[in-house]
Amino acid sequence: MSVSDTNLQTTRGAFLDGFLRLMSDPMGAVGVVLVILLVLSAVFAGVLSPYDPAAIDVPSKLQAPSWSHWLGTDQLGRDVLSRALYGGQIALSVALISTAMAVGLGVILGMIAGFGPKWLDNPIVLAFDTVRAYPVIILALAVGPIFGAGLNTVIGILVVTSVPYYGRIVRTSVISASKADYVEALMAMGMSRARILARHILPNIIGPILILASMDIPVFIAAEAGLSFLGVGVKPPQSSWGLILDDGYKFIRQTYWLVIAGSVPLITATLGFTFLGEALRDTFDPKLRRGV
Amino acid sequence: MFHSKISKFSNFSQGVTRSIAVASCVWAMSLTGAAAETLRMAVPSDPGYLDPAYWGSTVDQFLIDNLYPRLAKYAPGDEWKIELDAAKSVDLSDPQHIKFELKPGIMWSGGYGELTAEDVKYSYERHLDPEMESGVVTEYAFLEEVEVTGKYTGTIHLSEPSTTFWSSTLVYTGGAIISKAAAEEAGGWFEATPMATTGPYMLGDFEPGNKLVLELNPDWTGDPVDFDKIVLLPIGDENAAELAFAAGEIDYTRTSSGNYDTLVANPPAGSVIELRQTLDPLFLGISQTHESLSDVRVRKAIQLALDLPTIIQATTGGHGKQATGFVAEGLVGHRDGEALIRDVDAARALLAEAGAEGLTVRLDYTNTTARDTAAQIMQANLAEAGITLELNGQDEGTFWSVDEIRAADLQLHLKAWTGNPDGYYTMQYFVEDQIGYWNWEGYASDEYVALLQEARAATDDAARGEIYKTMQGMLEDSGSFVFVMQEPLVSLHRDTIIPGTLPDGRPVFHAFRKAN
Repeated sequence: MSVSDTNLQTTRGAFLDGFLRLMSDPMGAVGVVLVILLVLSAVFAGVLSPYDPAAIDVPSKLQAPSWSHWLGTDQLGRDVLSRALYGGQIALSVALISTAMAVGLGVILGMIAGFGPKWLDNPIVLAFDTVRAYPVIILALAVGPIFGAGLNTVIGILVVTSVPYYGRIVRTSVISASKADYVEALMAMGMSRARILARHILPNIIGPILILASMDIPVFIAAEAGLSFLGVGVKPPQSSWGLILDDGYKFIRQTYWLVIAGSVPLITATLGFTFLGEALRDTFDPKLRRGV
Repeated sequence: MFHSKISKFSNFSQGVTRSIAVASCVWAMSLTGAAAETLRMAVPSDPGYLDPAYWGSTVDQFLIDNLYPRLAKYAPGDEWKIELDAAKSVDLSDPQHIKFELKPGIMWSGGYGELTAEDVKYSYERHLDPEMESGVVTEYAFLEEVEVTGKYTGTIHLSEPSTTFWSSTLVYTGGAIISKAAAEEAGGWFEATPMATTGPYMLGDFEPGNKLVLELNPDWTGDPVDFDKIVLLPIGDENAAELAFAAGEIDYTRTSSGNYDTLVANPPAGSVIELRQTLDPLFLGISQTHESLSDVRVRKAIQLALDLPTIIQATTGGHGKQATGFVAEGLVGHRDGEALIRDVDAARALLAEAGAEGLTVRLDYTNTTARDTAAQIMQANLAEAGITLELNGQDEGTFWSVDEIRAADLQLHLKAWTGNPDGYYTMQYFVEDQIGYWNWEGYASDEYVALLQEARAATDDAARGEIYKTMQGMLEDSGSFVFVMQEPLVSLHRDTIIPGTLPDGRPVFHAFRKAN
């Protein structure tokens, strides 16, 4: 058995051990199950949806749940279950893409600020603080009409407002890590700053950042729904939980099913990702791990 | 350009409008209180311009109609009837020279003195001043001058006989009379703060986005009114207004006819629900000046692809009827049996013939629930014909603001104009001079202009009606107009009040009464 085989087995063992610990936590198990259900329903929305989510059938508008329409129909007679399933695709896409981009840019800018040329630190931190000074919703309402409502606008707004959050944390972690003896030793050996960052500092700080990111996914899902509700997000004929909620609000006097249909998946997704994120943090953060 | 001036006033995002609607209503009520003598009314937006030369929105029209005098005006009630207003008498026997005599003793608020024939002359002739860039200049195009023959008397001289100048201009919003002294003091034009009005109410506290208060005019000497104060609350979406009504925050609102059956089945406590037929034409304009829509075959394909009965069913709950033109049923010039019939195959064929497969166009509309519903159905209809429709819902102020840049960028636009019992009022705007102003469709035809002239001079209703029918046919044949319907309207009010409205439901503030 080679050294690399041994390392692989160690990694697999650690992963399995972590997963089992995660599943042994009731909150973590619920989170995993909800997230898996959500991901599967979004991935297989095309198969699971009984109707085309954009198919209009006005004579069947605003129907209560029935065997033919499990979650009823909206004001255009569209099947709400189908729209909720496709809305899950949008919610997950926005959340995952926004999180990935925000973490990626935040890590890069945070590392440059914390370990790059000193003169770059202050401008980057100033930019972070400037962007963070704007409340997300206000920024969205200001920017939305300029760039036009749509998925790209939502992702852009979420990324721009989240990058400073990750950038700040990464910067602090990098500054702390850069004072370690091994970093000074590597610098004394003449290793470039970029290489030290990529090979030695990043692996040490990325774990907590990814756990933080997983806890932000439900925030992004709720933000997409909120922005779509306000008319800045997803546009028809695409479906979104926020749009379903918006329709529900408009037609609340006629039917309350639309509000339920829009809010249940939103609540489920938010709870699922929150439980999972918190359980991940508890599982992989040595300070919070039970019994330590 | 007056449109650019208007655009300064309306740049709220659709999200802001929607999110603050009910909140602002509740807040306004906490500030104004809800005294028994206060009438609280929901309106679609803030006013933009209260100068009759520049009015654009529904609320502008409500206020101009209620704050300024006209020689005569349409009377509140269930039938379209003209009654004298500021005029004691009007002589219409010569359609080229209209003589009038004003009632003495009508006083302008703010100490601007008495209403005289000089005010009438100033109010009408200012629209002809090119520097004014009046939005209603088309309505005054045939005015030569107003000859003042006495303090209260004068003669309106037209360059040609016109029966429509009276019915569609002088008694309508564009015929509002303003105080010459006040307007000149303001520099010749004003925005949302007129210095002088007449009538029982005058403008009070105005907090944009929150409320506009009409207070009693201390100089008013006419019939008493039942309400000391009218608070107008801007609530852009009719369903939001309905919720505000159900929450007890407003006393009167207009709402979508699509909600009528639900309201009747489950009325808010102490409410009265009324369904009315308006004259307001809802139509889809297709800009032929836009590059992607310049081919008439493309425009006709869009006409043929739309399922208008379904749109009407979805937005009015079946209470609307497909329109055949700008003139409503029962009025002079209404076209019978000319409604567009959907033919998706023909639409596809026309697009293929024009080489416009895969066309993507944008639809602008005001982002109310009913318009949004209609827009989404249009999107699905056009998708069946192979056209991608991008939806661009806007708040009312933004939608109606047009500058040169936006005028050139307009493609499809779903809009309702306020209607007039005389169809001439609407149809006079589809001329070359109005392209970029109100003629968003870019329609221009010498034959149409000749028919307009013929209609103006026609004293016989039947003859004028035939001309109107031909003109509406020409507009539809151009492919630039899709007549959807004359919108029905539902009003919702407390059973403690009796609304005063025109036959089409437009509020006449002084005619609102308390129910005993």
